[in-house]
Amino acid sequence: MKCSTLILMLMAVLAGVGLFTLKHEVSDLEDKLANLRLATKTHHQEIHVLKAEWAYLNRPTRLKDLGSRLLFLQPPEANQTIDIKDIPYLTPPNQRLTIGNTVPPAADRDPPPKITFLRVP
Amino acid sequence: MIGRQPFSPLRTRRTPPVPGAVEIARIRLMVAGSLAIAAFLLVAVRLTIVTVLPTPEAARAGTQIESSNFRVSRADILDRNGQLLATNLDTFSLYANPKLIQNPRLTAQNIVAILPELREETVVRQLKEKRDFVWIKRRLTPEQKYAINKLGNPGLNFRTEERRFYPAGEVTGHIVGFTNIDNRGLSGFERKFDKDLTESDTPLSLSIDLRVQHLMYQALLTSLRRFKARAATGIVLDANNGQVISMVSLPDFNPNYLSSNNVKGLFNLATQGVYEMGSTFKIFTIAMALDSGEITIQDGYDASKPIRVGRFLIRDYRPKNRWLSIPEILLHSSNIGSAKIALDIGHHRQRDFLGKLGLLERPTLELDEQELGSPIIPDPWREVNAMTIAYGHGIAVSPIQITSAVAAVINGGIYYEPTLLLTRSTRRGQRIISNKTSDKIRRLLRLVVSEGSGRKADAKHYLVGGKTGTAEKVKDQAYNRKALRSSFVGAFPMNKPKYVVFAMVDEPIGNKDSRGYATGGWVAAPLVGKVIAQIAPLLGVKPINYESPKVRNQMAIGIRTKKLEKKHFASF
Repeated sequence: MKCSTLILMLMAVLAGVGLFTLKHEVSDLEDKLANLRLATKTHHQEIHVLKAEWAYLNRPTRLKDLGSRLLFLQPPEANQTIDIKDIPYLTPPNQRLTIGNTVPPAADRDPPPKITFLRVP
Repeated sequence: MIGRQPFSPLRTRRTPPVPGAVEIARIRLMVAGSLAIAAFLLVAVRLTIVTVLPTPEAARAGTQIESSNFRVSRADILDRNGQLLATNLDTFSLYANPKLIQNPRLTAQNIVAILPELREETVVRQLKEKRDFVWIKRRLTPEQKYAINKLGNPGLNFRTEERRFYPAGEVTGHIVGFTNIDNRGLSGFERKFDKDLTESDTPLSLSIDLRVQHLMYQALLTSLRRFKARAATGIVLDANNGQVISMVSLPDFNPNYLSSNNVKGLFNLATQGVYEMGSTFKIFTIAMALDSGEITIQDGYDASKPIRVGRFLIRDYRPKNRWLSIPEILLHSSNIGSAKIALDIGHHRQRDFLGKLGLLERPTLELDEQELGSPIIPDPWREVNAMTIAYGHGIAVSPIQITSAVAAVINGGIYYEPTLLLTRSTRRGQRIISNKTSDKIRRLLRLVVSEGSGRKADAKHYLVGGKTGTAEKVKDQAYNRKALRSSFVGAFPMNKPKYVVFAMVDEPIGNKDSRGYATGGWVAAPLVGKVIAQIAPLLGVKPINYESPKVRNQMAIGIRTKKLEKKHFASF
């Protein structure tokens, strides 16, 4: 037999084997994909149900009931809020430390500024 | 004989071939071979291109995220913060195959033990039918399904069906609406947007804020019980774009458990009902007068005597029996004064003005036409009508209309059609009155709350302004002094109004807390005040310092008590 025929035959066998494994690999992957698709669908369904349950459990009527029974919280009143601009700085702007600066010795420091919160309107 | 055969192989062998014939054969063979090879090569190249080289489609297929394989048959409905208001859930419907049921009586007993709402005789009859499919009960809960499965009866089986579920229940019932057993919208948003909800998967966002809705619902319910009223309704509207933040109507219904005998609960007072609003209409009368430029805030009218027009007698509820300035007409809620203003302006202009405020036509809210009441307006519109309409009688409009109209006169003069859909972009409105007139109305309404009948609506620190309204209900074709419809329409904060709040209580009965009164100032105003105090922090409205010079200046208004004689300069 000629050498070339042998090589050709070998190639044909190799191609056949290659094709066979490839086909199997693809069908395996397809199975996997189908499973994943099913899993995502189930998970989506579950998430959907959980979302509904979450909304149901978070309905204000229930939260109010739970809050009044289990927490020591009350609805906020207007005089409990303050504008961010009205909150005083702990230190006056000229004494604020920047990174890299060393803290002056204790003797040189002014007494700490008194913290006074503005009266809320 | 062999040799004689003309084309025998022997003969060909004997005679030498024609020179070139072999050559020709070889060439033919070569041509045929190379053609075949070319064809195979073509196939190979194509195969390589298809399988080995990356194509755009293949590249896309790899990166595509598969998430769209889960679909619900009806889209969700959300509130403005994304809270779920309506969604589809799988439920299990129980059916039986009577041919597989061995002992119908025992099976029926077991089923009824799990589903007590069924009648045993009915179930036995169903299970004895000569069919192989019969519905026992649709839409079971998971627990019920588990219990039925536990019976282990091969004749009982389930079919999965989608069911609409409303987590907020009755709190959003009138707005969201409900569907029938086949998931078709029957009322509210479910009906109006039935097509959009079924065709697309993207959720629909409402302008409603569930938290505000809940607070309004609770406040109305408390009032309803405290004053033994028949019904109540409340609205919170964004003053600067017409979005409805809350809309509640009591009595109500739970869309998850509909019952056929709750007809009253289905009625939406806020949009379906039209009512004579009473004194709240004086806001429009005065806005119209001031905007015309013919009457200034310094002017006034003689309110010392009732006006008789034909068989009508226009009187004041608490008569002052003297000349009243424009602020005083609103402050003391003078019917006589309002009627005289309307006469001066004229009934044609009044009609045009109220028309521009959307009070004469069915509102364009996103609800089915059946759920939107048409206003009742006089036809023909004569002078006598103008006089009664000036103080809110002889015209009936729905609460959503009056709320939107009040928003227009206080927000700087722009009318926005009310909407239940969440819109992030700015909406287009129509100018009704000048900013200057609107500013005066704001001061006047603040005055009513700081000094007048609306005092109980003043949620401290939120600078509430508004107007009370008490209308006598028509019973047996006459106004009944005992049966009232008490309302309050207010806005906050009055120096730069953000929200308009409306509340109306139907036939409240005065009690000890209200010193026996059942008027707007004693029933609806405190209700609105309470709601504002609770919702303002949620809606991000900052508390206001009433004493700050800026605020005092914004709310200051000059009041004359006598003609051309200035008495005092009241701040607020």
